[in-house]
Order: sequence, then C-alpha cells, then structure tokens
Amino acid sequence: MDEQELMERVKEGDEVAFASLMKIYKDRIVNFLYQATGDYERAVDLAQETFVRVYFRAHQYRPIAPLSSWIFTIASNLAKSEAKKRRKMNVISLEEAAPELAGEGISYDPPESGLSRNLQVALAELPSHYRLPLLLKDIEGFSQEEIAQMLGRPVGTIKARISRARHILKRRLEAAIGEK
Amino acid sequence: MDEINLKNHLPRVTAPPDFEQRVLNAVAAKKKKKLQPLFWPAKIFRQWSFVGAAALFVVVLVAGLLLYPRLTRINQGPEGKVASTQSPLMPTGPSILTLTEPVDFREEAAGSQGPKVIYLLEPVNDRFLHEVIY
Repeated sequence: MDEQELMERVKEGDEVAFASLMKIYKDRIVNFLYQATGDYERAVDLAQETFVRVYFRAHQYRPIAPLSSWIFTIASNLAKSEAKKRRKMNVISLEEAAPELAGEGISYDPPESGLSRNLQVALAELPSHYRLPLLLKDIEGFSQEEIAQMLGRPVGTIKARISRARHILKRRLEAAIGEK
Repeated sequence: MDEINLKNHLPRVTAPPDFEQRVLNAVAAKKKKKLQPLFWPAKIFRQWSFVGAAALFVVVLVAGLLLYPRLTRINQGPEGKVASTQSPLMPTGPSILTLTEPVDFREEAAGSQGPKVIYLLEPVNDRFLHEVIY
C-alpha cells in the first residue's frame, strides 16, 4: 500500500494505516527534530505532537505535494515554536547538556567524533531560521522550492539562508579546529 | 575547508521502540477530550451552581438586612402604647386591621357535646404587641 492510500485510510480514522505511516516517517522526524532542538527527549515529544497533528488534520492534506513535505511542514512549525520558546528561557548549550544526551534510546550512527561534536555545537548555535532550511536541505534532501513552500518563505530567501548557514557553520568549525 | 557534508558527519538518532504506542495513546486521549465539550455545560453547571446559590443567598441576605428596619418600623400610639406594626407595604390609615372570619363558628360548635367554647388562635408576633379586637 503506498503512502497516498495509507493517507486516505488515515482520513477515515484507520489507526492501523496511521501506525504504518508512522513506521515510515518516525525516525526521520525524530532525527530532524533532534538536529533542530539538540534535545532528544524534546525531539521525541515534538515528533509525537507532529504525528498527533497528522492524524487530526489528515483531512487537510491534499496530494498536490508529497506527503513527506506536508509532515515535515508540521514538524518544522513545531521546531520553530520550540525555538521561540527557548529564546525566552535559558538555553543550555549542547556541551552542558551532552551528559544527559547519552541516555536510553539514543544511539548515534555514525558514532560521535570530534568533528561531529563540533558540528552539533555549531548547528545548535545557528539561529533557527538558518538551521531549519539547512537541515531540510542537507539532511532530509528536500529541494529549495519545497523548503520555501514548507516554511512559507520565498525561494530566494531560502537559498540565501541555506548559503549563509553553511558559511557560518564553516567559519565556526574552522575557528574550533584553529583553537585546538 | 571543503564543504561539510552534514549527513555524513552529524549523528543520526532514531525514535524509541514504543513511539507508535505513545502516539496512539495521545490520539486516544485527545479524542476523549474532544468528546467532553458535549458535556461541559453540565460540568460548568455543577461547578457554578454552588457559586450561584451562594451569590443568591448573599443577595437575599443583604436585601433582607436593608429592608428589615423599614419593615419593622414601630408607630407609637396616642397612649404611649405600641399600637401596631406598620409596614410600608400596608396602606396607611387606622392601625386596626379588619379581618373577616369566613367560618361560622355557631355551626362549627353546633354538634359539640361539651361546653361551647371557641378558641381563636391568632398568629402573634412576639417582637411587637398586637391589639386584637373582636
């Protein structure tokens, strides 16, 4: 059964079809939200909320765009709200939170290296309006046009933000390597 | 530095094993919550009926306290005796209220074997003196 058929069944309230859909997307969504927030537990909560919204808003989905971009749109909106909330609170840096990250349920693939550690720190320090388009492009493989639609921004803005995000990451990694 | 391939260098995490069940539980809980609005008028009624009753009690109490002195104003008669109570609701004029007893006591007592004594029990206000004239 393909995704569109599954989605049609989810619209009718079929929870078995919904569980099948979750199997397909859960890891991608959790990983995306983890890279976006830097907090595994929070990423799982947000991913849970993403799928709850997918279930209750299934009737809003139109097969014009791929199902993946619709689900990631919901996840991106939740990530944006989370980033806004964190700006108002004290944000713990990834390095301070690192001991808690190595908890149950987290397995890193590939295993962490110095570069990946530095990359995670640099990514966490990126503003969310740079981080999200970068993750959607480089991790999830969406096109810039798809990302523009998902984030509700012009394509030119998305291109500029992705380019700027890569530039900032590169500069920070070079600085981190230079310090060592 | 060459372009960084994020996909190759960032660690990848996966969902916990019970993820689907947690989501299905959350969906079930939300469905249950959505049904509650059908009953919330009754729920609100139960919660607010006590408040409403208490408010009504306070209003009646305050109204009673405010009106009570006016209701129990005492007029002193010409002999210095308490003549009657006068309510602002009663028409002004003589302090004697004429009552008509609809029962014919002669007929009521006609069948009595013993002494024909009729006791008229009138409601008496024990705070103010009433003068009853027959």
